[in-house]
Amino acid sequence: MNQPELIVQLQQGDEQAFKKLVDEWQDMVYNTAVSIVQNEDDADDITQDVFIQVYQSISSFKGESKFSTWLYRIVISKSLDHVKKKKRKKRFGFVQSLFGNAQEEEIHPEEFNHPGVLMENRERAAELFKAMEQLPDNQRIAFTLHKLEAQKHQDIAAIMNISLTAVESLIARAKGNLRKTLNAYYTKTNF
Amino acid sequence: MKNNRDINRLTDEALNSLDGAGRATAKPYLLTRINARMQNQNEKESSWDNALKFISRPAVALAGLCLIIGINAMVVSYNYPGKTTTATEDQYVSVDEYSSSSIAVLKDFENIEP
Repeated sequence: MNQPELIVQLQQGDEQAFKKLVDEWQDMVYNTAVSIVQNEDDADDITQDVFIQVYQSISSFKGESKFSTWLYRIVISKSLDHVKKKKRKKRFGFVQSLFGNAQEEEIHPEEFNHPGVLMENRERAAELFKAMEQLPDNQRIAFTLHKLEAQKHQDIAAIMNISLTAVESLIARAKGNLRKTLNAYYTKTNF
Repeated sequence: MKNNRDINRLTDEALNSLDGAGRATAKPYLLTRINARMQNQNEKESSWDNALKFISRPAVALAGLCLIIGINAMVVSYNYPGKTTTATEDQYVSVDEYSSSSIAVLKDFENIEP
C-alpha cells in the first residue's frame, strides 16, 4: 500500500491503516520528540498525543505538503508546547519554593543521554544537549532536524515554512551559539 | 591547566558528538497505549455529551429556567418588604408626633404663667 492510499484509508477510519501508520512513523515521531524535550517518558507521551491528533485530524490533510512534513509540524508543535509548559512549571516551582512549598516532582533531570548516540560520544553529547536548551526555538528545531533526523535543508525549509537560505542561516547561527556556550562551559569547569 | 587548544578540542568533540547517531526507537506496544488513551478520551467525552444532551432537553431546560426565575422572584420579594416596613415605621413616628400626649405637652407650655 503506497502513502496516498494509506491516507485515503485513514481518512475513511480504517484501523489497519492506522496501525500501519504507527508502525511506519513511530520512531521518527519519538526521535524528534525526545531530541526536543530531552526526556524519554515525556517523548513517549508526546508520541501518543501526536498519533491521536493524526487520527482525529487526518481529514484536514489535503496533500498540499508531504505527509512527513505535516507530521513533523505536529510533533514539533507538541514538543515545543511541552517544553514551554515545563519551563512555566519550573518557574512556578521556584516561586513556590520561596514560600516554603518546594515541589516534590522532579522538573528537569540533570543530564540527558539520547538513546541513539554512540556510546563513546555520550558524555560530550549530554553537554551539547544542555547547550541546545539555551538556543532560541527556531535555531533549536533547525539544528535538531539537521543533526538528529538527518533532514535535508530543503525539507527543513518545508517543515518550518521558511526559505532555504533562512534554514542555512539558522543552522549556522545555532552552531555559533552552541560553540560559544560550550566554550564558556569548558572554560569554567574542570575536565 | 586548561588552554585554549584543549577547550576548542572539547567544543569540537561536543559539536560533532551527534555524528553517526541513530534514531531513538519508540517504546514497545505503542499502538496498544494509543488505543487505550483514545478509548479513555472517548469515555470522558461521552460522559460530557450525555450531560449536555440531558441539559438541552426542552423539559429540563424549561424547568431550569422556571427554577432560576423562581429563585430570582424569591430573592426580590425577600429584599423589598423590608423597605415597606421602614416606611410604615416612619408614618408611625410622624403620627406619634401629633398624638394627644404631644398636644397635651404643648398645652402645658401655653399654660405656664409668666
